[in-house]
Amino acid sequence: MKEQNSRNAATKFVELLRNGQIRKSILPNTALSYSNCQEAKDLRNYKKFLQSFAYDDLKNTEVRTYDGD
Amino acid sequence: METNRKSFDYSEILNSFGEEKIEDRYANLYEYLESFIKRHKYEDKVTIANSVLNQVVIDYFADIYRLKNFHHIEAINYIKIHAYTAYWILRRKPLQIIQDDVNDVNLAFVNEKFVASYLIQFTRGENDKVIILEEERQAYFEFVKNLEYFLRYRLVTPQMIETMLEAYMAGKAFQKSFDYSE
Repeated sequence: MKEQNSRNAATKFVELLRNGQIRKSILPNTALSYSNCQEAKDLRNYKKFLQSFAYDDLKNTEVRTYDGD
Repeated sequence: METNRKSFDYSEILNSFGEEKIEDRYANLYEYLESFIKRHKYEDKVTIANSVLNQVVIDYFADIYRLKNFHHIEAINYIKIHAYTAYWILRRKPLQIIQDDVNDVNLAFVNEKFVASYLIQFTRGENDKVIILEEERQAYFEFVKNLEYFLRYRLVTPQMIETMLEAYMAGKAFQKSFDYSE
């Protein structure tokens, strides 16, 4: 009886798959291409950031002390 | 049994993304790392291991290739690109110490430090003039410290980095909307 249940469930599962009733959850597909131009711009921004006052502070930031959080 | 070596190469990746794209990404990453070394005055202490960077780039594209195929994605989104790049740099560690300095604790975590700077710049985006308000400094720096801790000691996956970046962007969007409604 138990074996029949498992077989029935497995057959039903394959049937659902075959009929496309179990569907992939797909990621949104609306991104623009990461162009060479954008990539170069990001690199420029990164270099600028490294030279900024903002990075002066971050450069020597200590790692957070573990407090059990 | 003789192995068909051809089927184990990365020609699919090359064909899928194109040589130019892969070469440009490699050159860009190299420049990121190089500018980081200069900024930290690590020229004599740290080098870029090309063999490791090779692996970073191929692992990144292999990951994205699988993802694109499974989800039928034309172009990977901006956050995912940065999350996966950060992950593979963190995992492979292309910055290698050539002259040790026991007094510099950060040297041991040079790759983590680089990844932190890479991700923080990503969260800042074009807003290079922003100075964190005095009363918000603690909260902001707690985030930075936490990020560095996370990159050094915690189990990191590209999906975790991606979610962290998504959350950061959502926080920015919320704050902008809040300011507008005031």
